[in-house]
Amino acid sequence: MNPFPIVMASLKRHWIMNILFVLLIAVAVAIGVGLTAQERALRQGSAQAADKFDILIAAPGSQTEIVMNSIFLQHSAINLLDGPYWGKLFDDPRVEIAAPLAFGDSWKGHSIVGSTPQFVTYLSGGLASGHVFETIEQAVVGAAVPLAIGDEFEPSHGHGPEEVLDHHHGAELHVVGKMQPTGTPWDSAIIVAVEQVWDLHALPTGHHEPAGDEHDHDGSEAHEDHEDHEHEEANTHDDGDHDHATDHDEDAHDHAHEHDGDHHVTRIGPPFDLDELPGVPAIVVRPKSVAAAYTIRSDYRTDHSTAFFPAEVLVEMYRLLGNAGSVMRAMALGSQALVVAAILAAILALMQLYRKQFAVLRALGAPRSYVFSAIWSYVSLLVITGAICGLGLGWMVAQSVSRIFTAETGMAMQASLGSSELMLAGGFVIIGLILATLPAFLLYRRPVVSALRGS
Amino acid sequence: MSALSDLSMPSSNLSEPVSDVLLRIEELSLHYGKNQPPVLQIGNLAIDRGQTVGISGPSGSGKSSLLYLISGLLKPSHGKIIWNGTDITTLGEGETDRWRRKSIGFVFQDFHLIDEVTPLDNVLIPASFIGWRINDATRKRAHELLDQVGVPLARKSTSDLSRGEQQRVAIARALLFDPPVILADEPTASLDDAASKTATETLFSLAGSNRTIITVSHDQDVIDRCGRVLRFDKGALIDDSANIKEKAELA
Repeated sequence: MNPFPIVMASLKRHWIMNILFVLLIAVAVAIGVGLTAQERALRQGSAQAADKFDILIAAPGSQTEIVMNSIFLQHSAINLLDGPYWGKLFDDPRVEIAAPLAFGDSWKGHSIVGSTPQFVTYLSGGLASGHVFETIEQAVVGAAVPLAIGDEFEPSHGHGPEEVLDHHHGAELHVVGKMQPTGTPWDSAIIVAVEQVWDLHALPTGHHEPAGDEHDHDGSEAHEDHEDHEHEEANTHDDGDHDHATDHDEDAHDHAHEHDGDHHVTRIGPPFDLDELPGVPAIVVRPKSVAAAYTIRSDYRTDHSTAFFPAEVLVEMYRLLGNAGSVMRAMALGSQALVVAAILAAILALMQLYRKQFAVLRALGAPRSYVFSAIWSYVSLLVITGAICGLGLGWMVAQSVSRIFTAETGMAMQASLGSSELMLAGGFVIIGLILATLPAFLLYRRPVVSALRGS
Repeated sequence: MSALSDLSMPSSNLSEPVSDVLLRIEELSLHYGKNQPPVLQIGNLAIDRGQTVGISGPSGSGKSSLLYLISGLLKPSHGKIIWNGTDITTLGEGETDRWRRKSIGFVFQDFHLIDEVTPLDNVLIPASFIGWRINDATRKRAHELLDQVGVPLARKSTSDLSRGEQQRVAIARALLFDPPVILADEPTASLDDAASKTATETLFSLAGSNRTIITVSHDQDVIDRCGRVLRFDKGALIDDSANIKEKAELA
């Protein structure tokens, strides 16, 4: 038997209603698919963002806040970990990389984070172009920051809505390097020497800097470069070469020094002088081994500091996200059930209109199974078409939300259709196919003669 | 399975005469409740092969019930309905469906065509009951039937047909499997005079030694065309006579 002539006729006859059925099913499936795909994309994106942050050490406080500040660059006021507690990390043999993170400033919504050159190289896995900062007037920008090497910018105090546009520090910074895309919020960040942030905020800069002495021959490369620059800038700053020694704005340079007044920051990065270290919001630590990670975490869990694996915090966040996701999925399932119930009710009503047609077919010799398969195929086609459209719609919505989220946070989120979305849509289809037997069975059992006699 | 290969019948084939009597009804009654009076009660009735039989009577007299009983759509409370030697009241539902598909062509008052398919596809609908694909022979027959009932093949939309044309398409649909019996339920009741006349002509042009037509009708023109008229009242057969015109011709 071939019930499709009747199925196609039924689809054509009430095409507006059928399109509405398909749209309803598509929206119901899309809600579930979009939620699941989005949640997974968020997990993957946040896990990727935390990948380089093995251990965070900070002043005691909310670990979630520390993670949000350090990894996701969602800044809020957190306690500072005093210099003496974190400075010794640089001499700790268990530590491969330790990098302070200092926040407070921004440029056009892009966070300016103070850290060390080593951290930039570690985070970016090598720069896409240029070089890491070698003086406090230089900056490296994330892949998504609309600044090119050679550009200059002036930091503002604060972040986002709190950014005080007219409150510039007066420092003019020069972009000397661009990081490779990391797929993390750090793609939207600008990284400068941590000494720059301290200096702008009139804090000790981590190094003994002799007042007024621009010739502290300590042998460091940064210092030597800077010193060279000091000597060359008057003649070479406008030659188009973006090397730090030639890309320097003397006015801004002078301006920046309004804050420290009587000394010049000539050294950046470790080693630091412990008695010159100000407090910082967080330290990122990459241990040399797993065992080292646990001992470091243990050693820095004191009254004065906290140490933790960000992954632990993420797992807890995922658990909360999972709980919220479960609630939302339950609501999505509820809405799907309502949609199915509404469609079934409408189809049952529709079947009352069709019952005489099917009675006529029976009188013409159609077996009951023909009637059953015609109605079942009709409802099933609606369900399958709606579920396929819902998969596509859910994927498109998740993609759009991910794009918006990525644009706002810099965290790469790639919503994709995975097995859970396919299972969700498949489950909906299976339930739909089972429920489609209901109108089919009701009409299948309908006495032919009473339907023929009805008008 | 092809559409026309389904025409062999395991239990009864009306095309192969056992005797001149095609349909025999014995002690038939139909009740809609145990203590209810019968809706229809017939002692004995025989209809010969090739007869044209008109069934008339007031509304509620049991005419349509008789049509549904002899087509196997209704099971009687008592009695036998024997088509060409086979009592169809003893057949299972599937067998009854197969038997009806091969033996009976139904024509309804309201045609019951499917507007969303072409007239040709409407004629071919019964073929979809028995096979996935419609073979060339069946398709050719549908073309011939539409031609025979005078509906142009070029007409693509069923809803554009006049009511008279729609009834003629319904008649063509009833003839797809060349059934030996046509059952018509008020075939002209929803047609105007001209269309009614054409539909009646078409219907009765199908009659012959190998085809029996049994029609329920209030339309005197239709009844006048029948060789035999059964009159019912209150569920009982009150008159069974050769048509007056036919009687006059015989006289």
